[in-house]
Amino acid sequence: MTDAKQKIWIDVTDLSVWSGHFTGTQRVTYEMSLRFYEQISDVHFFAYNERARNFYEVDFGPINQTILASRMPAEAGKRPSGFHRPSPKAVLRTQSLKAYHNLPFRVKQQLTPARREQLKKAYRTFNSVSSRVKPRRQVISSAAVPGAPAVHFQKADIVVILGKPWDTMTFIDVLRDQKTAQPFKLVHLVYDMIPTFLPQVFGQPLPANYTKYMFEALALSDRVIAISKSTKQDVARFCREELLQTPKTTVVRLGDTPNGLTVLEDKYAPSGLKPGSFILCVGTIEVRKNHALLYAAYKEAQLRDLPMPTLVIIGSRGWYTGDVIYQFQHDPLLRHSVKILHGLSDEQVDWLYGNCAFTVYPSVYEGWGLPVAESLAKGKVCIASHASSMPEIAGDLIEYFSPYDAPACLALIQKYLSVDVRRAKEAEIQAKYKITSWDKTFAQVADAVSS
Amino acid sequence: MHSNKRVLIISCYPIKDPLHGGQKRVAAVVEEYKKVFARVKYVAVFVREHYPVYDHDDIYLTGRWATAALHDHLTSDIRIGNAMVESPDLRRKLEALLRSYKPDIIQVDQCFPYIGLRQIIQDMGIRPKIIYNSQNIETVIKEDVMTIAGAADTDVAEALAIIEEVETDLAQHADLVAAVSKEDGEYYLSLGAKRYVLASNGIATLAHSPAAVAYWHKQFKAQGIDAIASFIGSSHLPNMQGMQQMIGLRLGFFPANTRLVLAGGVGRHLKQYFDYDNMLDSTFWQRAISVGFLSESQLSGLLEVSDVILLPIVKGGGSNLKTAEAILSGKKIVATTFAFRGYESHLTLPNIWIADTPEKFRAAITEALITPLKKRSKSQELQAQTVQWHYSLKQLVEEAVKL
Repeated sequence: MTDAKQKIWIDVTDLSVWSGHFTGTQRVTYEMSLRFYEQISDVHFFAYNERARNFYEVDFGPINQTILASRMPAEAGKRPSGFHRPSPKAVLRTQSLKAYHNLPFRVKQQLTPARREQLKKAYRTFNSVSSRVKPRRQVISSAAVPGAPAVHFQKADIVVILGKPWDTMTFIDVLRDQKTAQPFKLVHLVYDMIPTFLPQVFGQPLPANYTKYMFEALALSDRVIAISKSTKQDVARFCREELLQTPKTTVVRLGDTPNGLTVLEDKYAPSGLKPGSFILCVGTIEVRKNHALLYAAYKEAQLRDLPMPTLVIIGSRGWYTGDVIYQFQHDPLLRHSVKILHGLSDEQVDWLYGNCAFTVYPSVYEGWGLPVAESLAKGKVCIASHASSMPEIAGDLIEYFSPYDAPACLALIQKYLSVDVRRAKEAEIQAKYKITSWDKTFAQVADAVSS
Repeated sequence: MHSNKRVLIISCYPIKDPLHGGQKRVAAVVEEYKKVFARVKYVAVFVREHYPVYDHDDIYLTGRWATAALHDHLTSDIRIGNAMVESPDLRRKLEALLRSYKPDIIQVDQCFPYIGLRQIIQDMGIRPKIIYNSQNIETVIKEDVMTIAGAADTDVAEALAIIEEVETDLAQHADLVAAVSKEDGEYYLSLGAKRYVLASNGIATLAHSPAAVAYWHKQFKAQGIDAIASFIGSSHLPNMQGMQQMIGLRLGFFPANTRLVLAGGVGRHLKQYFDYDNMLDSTFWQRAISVGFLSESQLSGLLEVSDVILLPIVKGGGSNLKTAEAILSGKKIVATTFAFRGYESHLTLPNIWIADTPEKFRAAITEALITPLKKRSKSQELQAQTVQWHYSLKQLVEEAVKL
């Protein structure tokens, strides 16, 4: 029997199975899911279980708790000032709630509504307080909650996909079957169409799988939320070329609120680095991020006998980067000028942001370009590629280069080595760059979902 | 209607267990002739490797003629025609056949056998009536096939000259010319034929196997498919061209719970047209299924469960057996005007969408998939029945008897 009451369902499959550092996708999913959880009534969460080929209702509480627990500092008691730790009372309450949330779903359902609401409220209060902590590492919790009810979306429902379900191809097949049976409203957040249009920067079989997923997702979606105008254009292009109807598309701006840490103590400095002596490139080390351009710019500087700062590259290894890392590490004239760092703590990353001369981001294509926004939010100059969405972040406020033009990149690096030029630009950034809060992003997303 | 005359039908392929349209057409003609003529003999002169299944009256090429025809697949039919006079062994067999069988009427199916046969007839001094049973305008088909296959211009020109000459000879000198469409008939008149009879392609009565129908229902239901549009076709060039031109490789216009089902060689051969570095091509199979070659039973079952039958034919000669099948099936049809050549009178039937541009064709598919099937009236049902061989070959049989 159809339930005419509208429910909003948020897919949190990613969060329930993800481990390790948050990627940009998980970050967005988490920030939005948390606010749906805290601010919207009658919102429900679900996760996909591939083995059962079905969706199951999950409680966001334990997922959030796991995430929050994983954000705890590695060295307890050694947090920099400003870090807000939950009180012992709150921790105790959390443990109690954790026990509650680990109860089988059917047992929890037998609790009285009043008691359940009381517990839920207390739990949300704790989450609200503790959610300011930046994630460090997330521990897996199971998406398949034993005994959880399978979800069959109803016609009045709104189903919101925020994550990256293309890793599991059957997800979209099951969703399609359900939407065919009950034509609920599907809202899909799209980060980019890069694997489709730039398959050469990914390993197989991601581009084909991603494209097939997006084909189905866009065929089924009633509304798309794009994270940039560039992504909106790519969605429209994809639909046009695939002869799909282009869904109504809303562009939202992603949050870039700093994490609250301001770490300038040199004890967090990776060895050998001195404040102001280096430039920073943040992001997964993958071929799409175009570190090869930086290599070419540094080599060009050598040919011209130009002084260059140390280049610090931080990020985990991604697709097809073995060659460029090898070049950086084994070039006798460059290897001492480049540091490639992985697995840094949040404090170390923050120290690098705070003490770099400026940041550089040569990516060939982005859905948004979070490192550009983060740099500006921290008041640091960023010189960036002019490709895809990146000029949307700060417009004329910063300077760009072609991701295929090493001399142009080099010229901008040289320009901003001047302290005076840099200070002037930093002042301009401070005055003009508007930081976007995740709350504001959420308001845009919530509007799009309900429109 | 009855005739004591003996009819000999000669073609380039056997008709035992017929698979392709040409075989089915000739087999139907034989059956219809047998109803009225005292004796009907069918003889195929053919390449054994091309048709491993044949009857004892059929004659396969041997020696260097077999080798040449086997390896030159673009013009193997012309080589068969030439071999009839050039191969002493083959000529001896054909002369023996003509002497012993003493046909009153020789029906040449397609023009190719006549390349050599006319010389034998002339040399033997016999004067049987000649019926030219055309299946296509062969010059048009041959030019397309050879050009696309990359044949040298000189080879194409040489082949076309031979075919044009023999088609003209048949048009002018055959006692009866049968064409599959009005357009083809007009073409033969332009070559000098005094008249022609329309012998459209038809089909045998469709017999659905309940097991096959159940099989397809189960298959599609398991995949969450609610409606299918079928294109049944061989890898014959016009089918491939029609598929690419009118439907294309981008199927986003198919609703998510529907599929394009490709049966026959068209699905298999389509794969060669994909650009595997272009991710946009990777979505084709999200909305398409290739079920490959099917038995008659499976094929009729597929037709029965199809919601829409697609006839995206833009080129080629003759008329399309698939059109007849589609008409008789009573299913919704999306077709080009071209696909209905020879069946123009059926365009008044309900549930038919005609579209001649890719955009309109795709829009028609979408519309047909979601539009409920209209029921045919009794008279419309009777009209649809006339696509069966018994009706489509009626004029040919009547005129043949009069010879």
